[in-house]
Amino acid sequence: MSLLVILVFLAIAVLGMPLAFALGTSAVAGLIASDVDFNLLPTRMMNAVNAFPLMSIPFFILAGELMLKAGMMERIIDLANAVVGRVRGGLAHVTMLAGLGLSTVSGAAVADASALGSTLIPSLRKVYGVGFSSAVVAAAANLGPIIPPSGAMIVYAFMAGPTVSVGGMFMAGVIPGLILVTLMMAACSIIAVKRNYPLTGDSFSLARILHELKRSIIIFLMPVVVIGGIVGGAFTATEGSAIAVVYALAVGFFVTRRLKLSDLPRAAVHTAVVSAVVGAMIAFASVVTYMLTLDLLPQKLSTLIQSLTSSPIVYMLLVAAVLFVVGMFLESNAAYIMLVPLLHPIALKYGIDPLLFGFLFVFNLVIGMLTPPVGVVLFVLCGLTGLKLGELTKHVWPFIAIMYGLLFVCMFFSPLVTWFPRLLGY
Amino acid sequence: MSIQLSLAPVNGTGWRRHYAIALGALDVAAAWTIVVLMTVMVAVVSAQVFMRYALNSSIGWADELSRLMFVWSIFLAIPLGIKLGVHIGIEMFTARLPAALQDLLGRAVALVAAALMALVCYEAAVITWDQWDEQMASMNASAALFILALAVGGAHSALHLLWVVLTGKPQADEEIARELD
Repeated sequence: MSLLVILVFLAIAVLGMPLAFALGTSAVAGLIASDVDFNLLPTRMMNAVNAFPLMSIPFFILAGELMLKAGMMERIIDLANAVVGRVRGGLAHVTMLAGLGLSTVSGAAVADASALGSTLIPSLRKVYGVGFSSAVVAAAANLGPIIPPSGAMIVYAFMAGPTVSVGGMFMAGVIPGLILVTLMMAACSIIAVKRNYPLTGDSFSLARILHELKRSIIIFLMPVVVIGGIVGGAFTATEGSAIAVVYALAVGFFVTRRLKLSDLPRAAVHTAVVSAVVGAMIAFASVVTYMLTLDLLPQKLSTLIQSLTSSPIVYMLLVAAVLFVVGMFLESNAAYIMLVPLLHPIALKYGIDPLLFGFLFVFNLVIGMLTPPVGVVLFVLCGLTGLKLGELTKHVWPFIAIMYGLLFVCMFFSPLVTWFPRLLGY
Repeated sequence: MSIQLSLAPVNGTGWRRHYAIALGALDVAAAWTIVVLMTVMVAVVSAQVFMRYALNSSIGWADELSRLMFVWSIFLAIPLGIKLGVHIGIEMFTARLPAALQDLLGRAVALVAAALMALVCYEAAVITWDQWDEQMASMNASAALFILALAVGGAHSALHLLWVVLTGKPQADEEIARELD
């Protein structure tokens, strides 16, 4: 029966049916084949979505959107410009730091790519040309799901169950995220020197940095309050995300005064639609997972893999290889929803730290958003600039290489990922 | 992503016009319901934190009410996602097919998805009917209100998918094309 469910899913997904409905149709095929009542379909769908932790997905999306409408992007860019604007490749560094700043209030690479691209590419392309500019923005946007808060990590933690906490996943991304932005800025410097890009930006001034820091402190207080509250145990991830929305509303209405009451309905519906895309997949996938569990597929898969290797490192490399291929063809949320329930329990049997495995899983699929043919972040940049996918890929590969390099370093030197969350009690 | 929050003028004649008007009205109703649901969700969850720390108290029904709002907002937004064509699918294989075959395949796939959502709607409606007398744990309301969201969202989704079957494209495509004309 499992084989039938998987084959039906693959066949109709390849024919272009949206993945959520392809999962639902394959689940119905499984229900028919195993003679289970159809009323299982809505019951399991509702139970899957009726989860308090999942509510943090729309709340963090809404908070990010409101902060953007409140004009936070300009303040972050001004601060980054004051700090690193006057060095070789300065605008690229500004983009990286702006990506880092944006990622502390938004948890999605696609939204970050759109926000960074529309704001920074007009200036970047004048100095670096459209190819390198788009690649820098794409790489900076990919920090979104690595630095907390992260929509990808929320979905992962939800699908993995009680062995992984959202707060723990958030903290697992902090050190690798900071290393990644440092490495990518170093790469920008090397490329800028090699290509002899001109110096841009105003000269360095401590007074200007302090002024910009004062203007943008209100933005960086948000992750301090929200993520600090979650990590400190003051509130749950969902409560923290709701507070993030209230904070964004307060900043937009009373500090920057850029947010209008008329912006709110559109932002709310947009948030709900984006969340519903993930929600529909989670709902239908729960029925598929149930069908596969009836057939003991997770246990069979676990026995098969454990008979092939007893090494946790080999298992992690095997999963990395699978995710490398999956990331090229499948949108990352779909991959979490379909693969985490199968692969995470096996990692636990190998004795792999659940936070390490979770972070590597997320990081792998985040890199997949930069790899063709299905690299959603690349699509956003191509749409914004009119650049061909092949041309953008030529410029983005150094950043992909850095990300894969860091992924393997984290795999073999796990404290990079686990030290910080363990320090905080996760 | 263009989201309709007010009734737009509808072109065309016959069944297509009536269908478009009905779907447009449903979409606007769903969108404004979502606005209310999201507002209540944010207010209730953040009020719960405020009550806990400022008043050393808690709202007993906060968790259940916010989950109910969340389930409804997801299942009301799924059909809007169909209208906007944002549900994720693998298009790299079908994009290489001739246009006529792509169109035929798109309609066939939408028909299967419409049947799926109609099934979800029917089964959810039956369960709602059967469980209507069951009470929620913390509120004086029927527990079947949770599953009713699937019946409503399923029906609305099936209607949008049926539009794709009949016209060959999501409704939002036509609106965008009209704006460009």
